[in-house]
Amino acid sequence: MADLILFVGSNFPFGQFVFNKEAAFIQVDTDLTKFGRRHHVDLAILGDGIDVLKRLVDKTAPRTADKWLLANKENIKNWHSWRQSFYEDQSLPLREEPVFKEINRIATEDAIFVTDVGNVTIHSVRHLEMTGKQAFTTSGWFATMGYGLPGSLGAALSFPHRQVFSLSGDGGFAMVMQDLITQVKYQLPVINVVFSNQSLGFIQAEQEDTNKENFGVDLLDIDFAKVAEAMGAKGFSIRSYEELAPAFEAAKNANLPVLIDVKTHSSRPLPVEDLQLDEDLFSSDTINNFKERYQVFTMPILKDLLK
Amino acid sequence: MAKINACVKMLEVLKDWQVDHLYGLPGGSINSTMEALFEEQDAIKYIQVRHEETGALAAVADAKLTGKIGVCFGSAGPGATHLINGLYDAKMDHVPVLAILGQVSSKAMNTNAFQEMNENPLYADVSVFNRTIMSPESLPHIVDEAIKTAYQEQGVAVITLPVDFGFAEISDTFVSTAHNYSENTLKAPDSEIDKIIPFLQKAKHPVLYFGQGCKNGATVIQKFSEHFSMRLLLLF
Repeated sequence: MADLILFVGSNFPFGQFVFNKEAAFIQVDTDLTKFGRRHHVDLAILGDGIDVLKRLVDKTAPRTADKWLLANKENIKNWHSWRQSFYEDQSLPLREEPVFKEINRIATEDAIFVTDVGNVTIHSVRHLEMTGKQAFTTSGWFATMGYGLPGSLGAALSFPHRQVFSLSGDGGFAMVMQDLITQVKYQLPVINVVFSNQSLGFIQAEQEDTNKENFGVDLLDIDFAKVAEAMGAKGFSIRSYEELAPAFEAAKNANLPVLIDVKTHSSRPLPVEDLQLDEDLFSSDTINNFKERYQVFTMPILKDLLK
Repeated sequence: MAKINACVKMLEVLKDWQVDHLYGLPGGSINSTMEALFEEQDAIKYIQVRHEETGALAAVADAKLTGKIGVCFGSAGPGATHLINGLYDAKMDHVPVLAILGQVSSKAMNTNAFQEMNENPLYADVSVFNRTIMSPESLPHIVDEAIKTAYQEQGVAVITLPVDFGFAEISDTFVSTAHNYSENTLKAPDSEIDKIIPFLQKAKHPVLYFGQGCKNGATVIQKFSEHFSMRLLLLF
């Protein structure tokens, strides 16, 4: 729907799938090999992105807010409203939103979030309510599973006075969990949250799109809290909503590594890149099934907000 | 002429470049580095990990979070190869990392010795600097070059260190170039920026997509969005 895309300081590998091919495209980067990789470029600017944006503001008169901006603002407001509506959801197995509600609650103003790779990345990007002073890191382009716990070691050692979270799925965590003992050895008070759903969830979703059946994505359940205790850390096993707050409260006040293993559902996260809600494109049956599956009843699509 | 252990001198170079901790696991082929780490434990902290991949990824996170070079090591063969996932993450997310690879003694190299792996070719793709040390005297100089290159290219520098060189004494003459280090912003010419303006004036549905290249620019981006009433999308 965009008719002009300003693409600044980015190498987003999914651009060719989600950017409107008809849009005019201006790319700003300090590396000219990036130009044209993700969309054909009408204008390429070789230079620092933030510097360009700043100078553009200085050179021009303000552009008044219009229906496009207002519709987008309403869209994002609806998005946050919808995702937060699950913050107190007590259904079992647990959804991820109640866990992030707790993470956001105990996070300090300058906390560091180290996120592993998989559905946990999607959930983190959607639900972490960043203050502007916090930091976020993951394995972006290479996207190696097992980034979370090792990354939290780096964060804790580089910033000994800041709160550090390691957020992983059970797939990624099990690849590197032996180094929980390194957190213990060096007394690094990392808050390790494992979202255990006995599935390589991101790949399960990919297989839904490309394969006849899920295969090889089912994981046996590991009692990660027991693993943590075996290594000298404090472990919590969460299977119900009421168990969340006490565990996170304890983590907030701990001065030694803590592991919170939350047993969650393995349903596919809302595929925002492939919404089936547009009445002009999908049958009402398809739309109703989609709404039911993803529990998304209160989000009008942007197209309708623009009308 | 004052003498110094070659690996201790290497650690001094790291210290000059503000490295205060590094990750790895000991092994026979990296024990000269371990000796130096023992001698210098007040100056630089050795973090013992249980898998070298953890060390590499921790070094990458150091670099991503601080902008300063992260450092990891692995002993010859399996220790070194365990670093690779972390090194590719550094390469692709474009951050400076130094990897020190242990290697069998220079006298045993190329003789099919125990755990002797032909390391250099394996790291050719992931690295922006990839060299085997050929004498104890050159070690501090090459580490300095490796670090400079890692910063310039924002990528992975790999040095392969035959273990015997690390036990040798060298003249203490080398001065690192860390004090020369500086950073600069690449500023696009005014005339280029002016070309953007007609596009902005014409657009009805403009969107700004921004990524890691806009790090630490939140205030500017917010102001930009308000000024142009433009929708923002962060692609991390």
